[in-house]
Amino acid sequence: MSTSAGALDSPKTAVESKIWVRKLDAWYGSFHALKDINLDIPSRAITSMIGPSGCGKSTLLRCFNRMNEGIRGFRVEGEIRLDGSDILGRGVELTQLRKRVGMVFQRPNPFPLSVFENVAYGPRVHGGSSSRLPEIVEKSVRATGLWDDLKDRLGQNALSLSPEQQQRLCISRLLAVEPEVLLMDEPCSALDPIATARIEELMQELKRDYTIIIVTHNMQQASRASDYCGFMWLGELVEVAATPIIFTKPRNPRTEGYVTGRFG
Amino acid sequence: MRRHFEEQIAECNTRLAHMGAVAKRMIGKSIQCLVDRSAEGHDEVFRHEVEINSLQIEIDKRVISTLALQHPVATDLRLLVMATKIAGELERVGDQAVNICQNTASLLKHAPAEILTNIPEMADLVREMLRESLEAFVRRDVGLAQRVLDTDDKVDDFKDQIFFQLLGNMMTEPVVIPSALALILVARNLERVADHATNIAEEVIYAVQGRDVRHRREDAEQ
Repeated sequence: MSTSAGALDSPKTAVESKIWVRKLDAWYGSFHALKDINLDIPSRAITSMIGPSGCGKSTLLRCFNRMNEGIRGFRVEGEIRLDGSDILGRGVELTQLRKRVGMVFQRPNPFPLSVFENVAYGPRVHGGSSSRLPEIVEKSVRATGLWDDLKDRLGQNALSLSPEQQQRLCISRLLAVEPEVLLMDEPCSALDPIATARIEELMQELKRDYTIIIVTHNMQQASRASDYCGFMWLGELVEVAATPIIFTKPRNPRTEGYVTGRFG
Repeated sequence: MRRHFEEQIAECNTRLAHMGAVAKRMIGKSIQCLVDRSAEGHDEVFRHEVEINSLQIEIDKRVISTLALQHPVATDLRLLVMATKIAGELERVGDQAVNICQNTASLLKHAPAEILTNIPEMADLVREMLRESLEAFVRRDVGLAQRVLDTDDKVDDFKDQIFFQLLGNMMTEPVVIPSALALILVARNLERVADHATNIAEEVIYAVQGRDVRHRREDAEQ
């Protein structure tokens, strides 16, 4: 991973990195939200982004599938490449991009439909064959560990599930469209500690097949659940390194100050 | 929360500094007994051993509790983990003081043999290393810790010199063998204390800078 701060642990080229970011700046109107971000996100690993509220970590996450673009006054400059291909260009098909780079939100947001229809929704929108839907639903629901609980209740309304099951279902819904990258914005903040632990375990299983980027306020979650960790401060990516380095021997005094609770 | 955490670290440091002072006193007293050819101060050393053992247990408990409750990271984590390691080194320094007393007792059982060795000078150097290593921890002084590491060779030289001198004495005058063996063991005890001071210095460097300097010299020599 690399940063403008020069923290180089295992330099990767654009080809080796799943996502490659160079000289990225973003603004909300006149507010400069991201400043000269340079970052490589390794494939099939969990990268966490930490930092105080308003530091830009969610903005950065949302740049990876261009979710900020509906926001009035939002502007971005620089380069983001997914498997070497530019994703900020005008010709990029956003539906296709968001199929490859899916997002899990803070609060589980299942549709007010049955469990089956929630998971089948994406493949239907993307024009998949109806005959394959039961197979896709089973595979996606199995991948998040819900199958044994829900296989006999696929017709049940998703809103009747527990918050943890709803969050798992939202992840199943993403997996059904066969993404490559999962963006997770505080995915456990609405869950109790047991449910949080289970989602973290699920993330460890999913990273075998997917690249995961998680934004979290919970530093313990970042330390126990991610392979790489980036610290952001006032729109800058201060430091990014292997997670054990960030939590035992950070190079930048601002990272040290934040992770030890001295400031922030 | 940060203030509470810093109070916990300060408490550990205070206990550790006290433990270090006790360990130094034990080494001083045990060597004094050797020099005086007297066992009078041994009970004091044995009493201190009980104190130093309970201090180690107390420091370990405090560190484990702080790790469990405060989840420290970075420098805080390194300082706390090194505090338990340093407490372990000091407890073993206490053990060496007890061993010196036992070897002195063995020496006193035999016919008095006036063998002159550099053990008192070696002991002064070792106590100075111990003092500097503890001061380096209290002041977070990497330069001072490095000086302790640099001194270790001098202690090894002392030990070799004493060993060869006593070997010579034993070959020329077999009657001194029991006394000379006891003195060799004392020199060995002091060398161990210097090793613990060296370990403390290495632990200070890791706590302050996150730099692991253990076994570097051995690696370079191989």
